Amino acid sequence: MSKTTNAIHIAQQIAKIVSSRDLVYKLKKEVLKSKEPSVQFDFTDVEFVSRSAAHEFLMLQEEMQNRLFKKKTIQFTNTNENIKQMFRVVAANLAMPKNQKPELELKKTDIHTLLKSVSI
Amino acid sequence: MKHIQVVPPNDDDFVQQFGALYSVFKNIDSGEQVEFDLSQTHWLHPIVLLPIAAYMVKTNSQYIQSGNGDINTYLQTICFPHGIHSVTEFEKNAQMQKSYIPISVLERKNEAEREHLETLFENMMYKILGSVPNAQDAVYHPISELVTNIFDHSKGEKGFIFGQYYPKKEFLDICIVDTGRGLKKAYKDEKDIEISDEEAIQEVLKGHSTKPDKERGYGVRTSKDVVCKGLGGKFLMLSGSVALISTQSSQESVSLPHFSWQGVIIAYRIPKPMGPIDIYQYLE
Repeated sequence: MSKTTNAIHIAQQIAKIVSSRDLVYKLKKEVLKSKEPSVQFDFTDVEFVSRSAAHEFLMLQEEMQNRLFKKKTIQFTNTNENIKQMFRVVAANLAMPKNQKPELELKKTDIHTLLKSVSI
Repeated sequence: MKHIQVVPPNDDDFVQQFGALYSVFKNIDSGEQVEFDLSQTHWLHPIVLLPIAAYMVKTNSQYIQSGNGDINTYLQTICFPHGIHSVTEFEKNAQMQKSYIPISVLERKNEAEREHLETLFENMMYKILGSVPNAQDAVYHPISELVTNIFDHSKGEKGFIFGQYYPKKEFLDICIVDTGRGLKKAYKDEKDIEISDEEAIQEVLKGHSTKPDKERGYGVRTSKDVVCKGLGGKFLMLSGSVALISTQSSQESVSLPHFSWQGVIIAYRIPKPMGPIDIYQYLE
């Protein structure tokens, strides 16, 4: 964590493309080390955050906010437009989950029939 | 040791290549040591090559080299079958071999290295597709989500990733493989439900995660949609004795008699993007 700005630089701490939930969750330890009530996750140089990683960031933010003791506010800063959009999509789904799972229309076949159909 | 003749079709059609994968691995018992005979091969697509590599690493199986010098050079260039495991190796390989990406092995225990190596791989995939502005998320999203699944769900220690671009035909083949517990066992272990391989794939597509956290289960479905609907590609996911094959207009569940893959194989083919792709409509 940067000593002067209370910021965790995600590109340095994790990578420029953030995919893994486990690496995001491990940031919790860094957040709790901070003596300040507010911590920034600085996304400078981060190119992309996967949907799963964005979900994990938001869950961590919520967890830290809802603690009874050592409550922390996490702010996401210096996000590029695509990362902002990813967070918005995931946050919207968390706030208003779709109750219905998607319909699944799946034809069934076997490998031999499938291969015959493409060789015709 | 069982001898497996590998004779891929001359056709690079995605389904025909899937058929080649089936032919290689049918009648192999799980964990059986085999000898893959590549003597008749002149080329291997990622959907065949990477599962062979992963299986060889897992079971200490062997292979017989091809009689064709070009394919042998290619396999050496891409570090078949053991792949590369670190950022340093990847960068060294990329400097030496400008046209080909090595097989990359992501390891559970080296989390930070794993994330950096995955980043390099994804950057390289975007670059070889032509760095089309505002198409990078469409390239990154499926790889990120599908690799994350290996370490969230498979209980496997390694994930194998590989890509090959075909510049004359302007498409990219990507393959992501693990030799973990597979989908059916994941549902059994985590949710205590006994379902078939086919039902397990259906549960994945419906977004029924094995994890209890709220709003999970989007990774495979959204990746498939980005590949097929966003990019106009073809997508295959295989676990146990069933595969899902999906295109822009259809999806089918394919039963695979006398075949079983311990883990998950994902393979997809995407044409070179012609312009920006909005993936966010597929992520909700």
